[in-house]
Amino acid sequence: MSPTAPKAELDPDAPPLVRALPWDQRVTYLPIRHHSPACAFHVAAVIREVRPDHVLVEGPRDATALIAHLLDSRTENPVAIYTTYIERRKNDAARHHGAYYPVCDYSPELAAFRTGAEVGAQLAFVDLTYPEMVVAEKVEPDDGVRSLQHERYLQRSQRLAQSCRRLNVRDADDLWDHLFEARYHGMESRSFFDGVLTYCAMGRSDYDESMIAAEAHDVREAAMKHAVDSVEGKVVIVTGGFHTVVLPDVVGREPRRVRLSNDADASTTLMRYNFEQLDALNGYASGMRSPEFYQRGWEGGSVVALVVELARQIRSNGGHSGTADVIAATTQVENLRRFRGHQSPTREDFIDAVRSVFVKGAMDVEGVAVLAQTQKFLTGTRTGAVPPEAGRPPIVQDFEREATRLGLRTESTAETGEKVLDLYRSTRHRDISRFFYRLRLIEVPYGTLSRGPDFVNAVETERLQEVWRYSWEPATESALIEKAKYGATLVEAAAAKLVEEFDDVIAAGVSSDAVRLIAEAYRCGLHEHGQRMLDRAKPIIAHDSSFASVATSCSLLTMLRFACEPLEAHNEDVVYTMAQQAWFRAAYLVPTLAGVQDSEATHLDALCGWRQDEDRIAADGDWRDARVTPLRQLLDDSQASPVFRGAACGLLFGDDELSVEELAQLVSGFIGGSDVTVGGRFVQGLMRASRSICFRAPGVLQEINQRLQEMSDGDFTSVLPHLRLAFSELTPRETDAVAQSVSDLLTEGEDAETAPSPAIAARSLEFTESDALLGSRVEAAVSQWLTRDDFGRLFDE
Amino acid sequence: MAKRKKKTSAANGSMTTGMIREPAEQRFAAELTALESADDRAKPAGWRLSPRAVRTFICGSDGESIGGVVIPRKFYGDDVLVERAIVTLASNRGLMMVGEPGTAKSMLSELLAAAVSQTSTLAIQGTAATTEDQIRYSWNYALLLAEGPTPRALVPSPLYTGMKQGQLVRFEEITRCPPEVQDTLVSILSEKVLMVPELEGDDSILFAQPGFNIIGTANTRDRGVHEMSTALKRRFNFETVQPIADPEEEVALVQRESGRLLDESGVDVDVTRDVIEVLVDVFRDLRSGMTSDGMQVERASTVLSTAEAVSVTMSAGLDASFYGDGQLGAASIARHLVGAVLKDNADDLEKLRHYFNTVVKKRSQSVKGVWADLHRARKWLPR
Ligand SMILES: Nc1ncnc2c1ncn2[C@@H]1O[C@H](COP(=O)(O)OP(=O)(O)OP(=O)(O)O)[C@@H](O)[C@H]1O
Ligand SMILES: [Mg+2]
Repeated sequence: MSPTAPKAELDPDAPPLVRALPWDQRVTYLPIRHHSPACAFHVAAVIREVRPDHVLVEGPRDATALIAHLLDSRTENPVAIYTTYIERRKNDAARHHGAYYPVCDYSPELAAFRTGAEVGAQLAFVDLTYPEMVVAEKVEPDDGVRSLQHERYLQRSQRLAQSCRRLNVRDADDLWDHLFEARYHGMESRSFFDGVLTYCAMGRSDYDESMIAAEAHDVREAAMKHAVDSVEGKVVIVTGGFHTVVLPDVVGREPRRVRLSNDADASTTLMRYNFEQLDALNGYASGMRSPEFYQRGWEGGSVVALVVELARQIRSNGGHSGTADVIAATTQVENLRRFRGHQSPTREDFIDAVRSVFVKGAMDVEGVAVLAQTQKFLTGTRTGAVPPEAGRPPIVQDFEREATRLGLRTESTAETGEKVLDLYRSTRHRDISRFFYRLRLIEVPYGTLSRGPDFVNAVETERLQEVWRYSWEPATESALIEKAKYGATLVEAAAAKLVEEFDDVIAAGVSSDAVRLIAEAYRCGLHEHGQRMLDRAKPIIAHDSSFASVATSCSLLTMLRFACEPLEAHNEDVVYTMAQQAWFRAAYLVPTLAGVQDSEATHLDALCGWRQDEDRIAADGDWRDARVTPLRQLLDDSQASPVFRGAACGLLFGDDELSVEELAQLVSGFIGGSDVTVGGRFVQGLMRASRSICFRAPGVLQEINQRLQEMSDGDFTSVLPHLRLAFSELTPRETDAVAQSVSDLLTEGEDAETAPSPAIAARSLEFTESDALLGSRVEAAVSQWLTRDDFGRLFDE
Repeated sequence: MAKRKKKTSAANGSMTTGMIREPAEQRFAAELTALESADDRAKPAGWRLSPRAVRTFICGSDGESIGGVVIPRKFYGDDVLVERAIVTLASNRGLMMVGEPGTAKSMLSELLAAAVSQTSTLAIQGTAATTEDQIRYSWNYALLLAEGPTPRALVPSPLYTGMKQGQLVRFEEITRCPPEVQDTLVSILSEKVLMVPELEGDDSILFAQPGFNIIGTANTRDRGVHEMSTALKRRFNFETVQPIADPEEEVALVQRESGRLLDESGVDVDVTRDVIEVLVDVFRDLRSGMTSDGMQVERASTVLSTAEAVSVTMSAGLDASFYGDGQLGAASIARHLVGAVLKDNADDLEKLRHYFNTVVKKRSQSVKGVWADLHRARKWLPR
C-alpha cells in the first residue's frame, strides 16, 4: 500500500492553500522542519538527484566558516553553533545577546551539507548574521539564550490545530510525525516536500504582514534570496518551510551590515551540545521533543529495543515491567501503528503503548513516575564533541589564559586543588582570589571558598587569608560558553553580569543592596566599574528611607575605606565621602526606628554599627550634635520598642549626655514598670549599646538587682530571657566582674539567715539557668494548685 | 419558548419494548448496521467491526454520512484513549478502565462491547458477595440430580458464554470482588481456557474463541486498584478516564442526555441551555475547588460527576413536570442540587452554603439571569 500523499490529507480542499514548488529549474527550494529525520532523508535524496553547484542553508552567514568542522569526521553530534552579540547604544548600557543553532545527526541542514560536499557543491549559510538579526528584529535581551531554530509558529497555528482535530492527533508536532516521520521512506521526494510546504503554509497562514515584519522575517528572506541571486549555476536552498512558502517570489536584497565597535562584540563558534539541551520539553528554546527517540530511528534501531530498554529502566527504579509487559507493549505499539496507518511507529505510538501497558493504575497517580521516566528516556543523554581546530569561544580562551597565568589547573583531575591566599601581602594571590570571585559571580562552577573574610556581607572581615578549593569539570566549560553572551573575557562577562544586577537594584532603590554589589565589584577586581557604580549609588543613598539599609551602606562603605589591601578601594575619595553621606542620612533616620516592629535584632545591630562607624570616618571633627538630637528623640519616643530606647539610652550615656543618676532613674523606671519584659528589653538594648555601663555606673546594677529581688517569681521567669540576652554581650572576664559585684551587693548588709528569693538563690548554686526557670515555674504551678484545691487551709494551723 | 414538546417516537419506542433502558446494540442498531455495511477494513478475528469503525462509532463520524447515517459522538474526552482501548481489546490483554465515578467508564465498556461483539449484555457486576461460580459456571440442580453433570445441566456465566462465542465480557467494579474471586480471572486471561472438571471429554475444557476479551471497570474512589493482585494487574492494560475537560462539551452532553432520559420516561419538560450551563458551572467549581474566573472555593468531598449532573437535571425535570409549570428552572435545580452534594458528608452543606453566599451571590449581580434565580432559590438549602 503506497502511503497517501500528505498534501492531500492535510489540505483536501480546492484550490490548494499553496502553489506547488517549482521543480527542474535553476533553483530548487526545499522546505524543512529542523531536526526532522524525514526531511534529512529527502534533502539528501534531492541533492543527489539534482547535483547542484551550490547548497545554501538557512543559518547565520558568518557560520559558513564552521561548515568544515560540522563535516569533520571527529565531530560528534549534537553540537551547536553558538553566536553572541554585544549591542552598544549611545547613552545606554550594553545589551548582551546569545543564540544557539543546534545540529544533530538527523538535522536536514547537516544532510544538505554532507550530500552537497559529496556532489562537489559549494556550501554556505545564507541567513543574516546574529547581530544583523538582533538589529533587524529589535530583539530584547533576556536571561535565556535563544534558539535560531525555534518553530513557535507551528504550535500557535489555528489552521494546523484544525487539521489536528480532523485527523485525530493531539498537536502540531504529532501531526507532523503522523504525516511525515511515520511514512517518509516509501514517499516520492517531490510529494514529500509538497506536503511539507503545505504544512508550513498552514503554520504561516496565521501571520499577517505586521507580524512578519516585527519578527524581521521579510529582511531575512530578502537576504536569503539575495544569496541565491548572487551565485551562478544550479542551486538547492534549504530553509525552514515557513520561509520557503514565500522565498521563490521574494525580491532579493543585500542585508545591511552591522558595524561593530569592537571585533570581540560578536562571535560565532562551534561548541558541543547535549540532548537535554536539545529537548524543548526541558524548557530550552528548541524546536524538538524527545531527541533520543528520533536518534534511534535514524540509526535504524527497532522499537522493540526501545521498549526493552525502557522496561529495564522502569524495573531498576522499582516499577514492575517484566518480559510479558515488554511483549504486550511491543504488540501495543505495533497495533497502534497499524490502526493509525503509520509505516513506522511514531513517538506518540510509543508513548501510548507505555501508557497502556506500563501504567498499572490511574494515570495521574501510578502513571506520573512512569511517564516522567519515559520522557527522560526519550530525551537521552548524548553529548557531542568538536575537533580542536574548531576553535574555542573567546571567553573559554580567556579563562584558560588567565588560569594558566595564575598557575591553576584547567583540566579534569581526580582530586580538587586547594589554594591558600594571602590577601594582604601577595598581589598574585589577590589576582587569584579575584579570578575565583569573577567565575563565582557568573555562576561558572570552578572554585569554592572554604574560609576567608567576606567583605560583601561583612562577616569575619578580620581574616587575613582565603582558602579556596577548586576543580575543572566539563560543566565549567559549558557554563563558560553560555556566559559568552556577557562578553569575550571573564572581566567583561563579570562586569556585565554585575551591572545587570546593579540596574535592578538601583531600580528597587535599596541602598544596602547597591553598596553590597559595589563591594562585590571590588572583590572581583572590577575597580573601573566599582567607581561608576559608586556614582550611581549616591542618589540611592540620599533617598533610601530605611535606617537599617542606609546604616548598612555606611558600614560597608566604611569597610571599603579601611580594608586597604584586599579590596584596594581605599584610594577612592568618593568612598570616603559617600560613607559620610550615608552616616548623616542614617542619623536623620534614627527617629524612624520608633516605627520598626520586626527584625529588631538587625536594626539594633545597625544602630550600634552606625555609632561605631562614626569613630572611623568622622576624622574631621565631632558629629556629636548630629547624633545626640535624634538619639534623644528616639529615647523619648514612647512608641519605640524598649530595645531601641535602651540602646539610645546607652549611646547617650556613652556620650556623657546622661548622668549616672539620670541613667539609674531611667533603668529603674523601665524595670519597675507593670510589664517586666519591657524592662528586660530595655536593659537588653542598653547593654548592647554600651556594656561598660556595668562598671561605669554600678548604680545601674544595683537598681536591677533591687528590682529583681522585689519581683514575683512569675515576673522573674518572664524577664530572665531578656536579661540573659542583655548580659551575653559581656566577655567572660567582664561576666566574672559583674557576678562579683552582684554577689557583693547581695551579702553586704544582709543577714545570713534571711533567705534570698528562691530564684536568686538558685543562681548562686550549681544550677543552670534553665533549671532555675523550670524550678520556679514548677513552684508557681504547684502553689497555684494548692490554693485551688484549698490545701492551704487544710494544713494551716 | 415554553412551548411543550410533543412526545417523541424514541419515547414511544422504548415503551413498546417495555425496557427502561435498551442495551447499546439495540439503541444504536441502525448506526451499527450502517457502519458494518460500509466497513471495508480488516477486522480482528471475531470482531463485528474493524477497529476504525469502532472508533467512529464511539467518537462520531464528524458529520460525515457513513452508509447513509451520520454517527454522532457518544464519548466526550480523550479520543486517543479510545484508540488505545480498542487496540488493547484486539490484543491478548484485558482492558481495565479506571477513574472517578461517573466518568463514563461503564458507558464506554458498553459501547465497546456492542460495537465489537454485537452484545453488551455479557456483564458481571462485581460486589463483595460475588462468588467464583458466578464468574465461571454453576449448575441447574434439578437437572444435575436427574442426569448427573451434563452440558445441559451446566448454567453458563456471562464469562463462559463470552469465551464460547468469542465475545467481549464486561466486568463492572472488579475491585469490589474478594481477591480470590478476582484471581479466578488470572488463569482465564492468560490461558484463555476454562476447565470444567465435572464434565467429560471435550466438554471438560472450554477454549476461548477469537473475539473474547474482558473489559473491567474500577472506580478510584472505591477500594483502589492497588489492592488488585499484581498477577491480575499484569493481565490488563489500564486506561484512566478523566472527567470531561471542556465545559462546552459537558453542557452539551448534560443537555442531550437528560433530554433523552426525560423523553424516555415520557416526561414533557423544557430543558434550556442556560439552566444547564449554570448547573455545570456549579459542578465544575465545586469539583475543582476553583471557579472559572479563578476564585478559590471549597472542594466538595462528594463526587460531582457529569453523570451526577445528568441525574440532577433529570430529577429536577421530573419535579418541574409534576409539580411545576413544565419549565425547568433554577428552583428545581437548587432543590436537587442539595441532594447531589449532600451524600456522605455534612461538611459539604457548609461548603455549598458558602458557595451560594459568595460565588452565586456575586454572579447573581454580575451575570444575573439564571444565577439570580439560583441565588433566590437559596432558601431551599436546609438550615
Ligand atoms: N466523557 C463523557 N462522555 C459521554 N458521556 C459521559 C461522559 N462522562 C460522563 N458521561 C455521562 O455519564 C453517564 C454515567 O457514566 P457511567 O455510569 O458510565 O460512569 P462510570 O465511570 O461507570 O461511573 P461509576 O464509577 O460510578 O460506575 C454516562 O452514561 C454519560 O451519560
Ligand atoms: Mg460504572
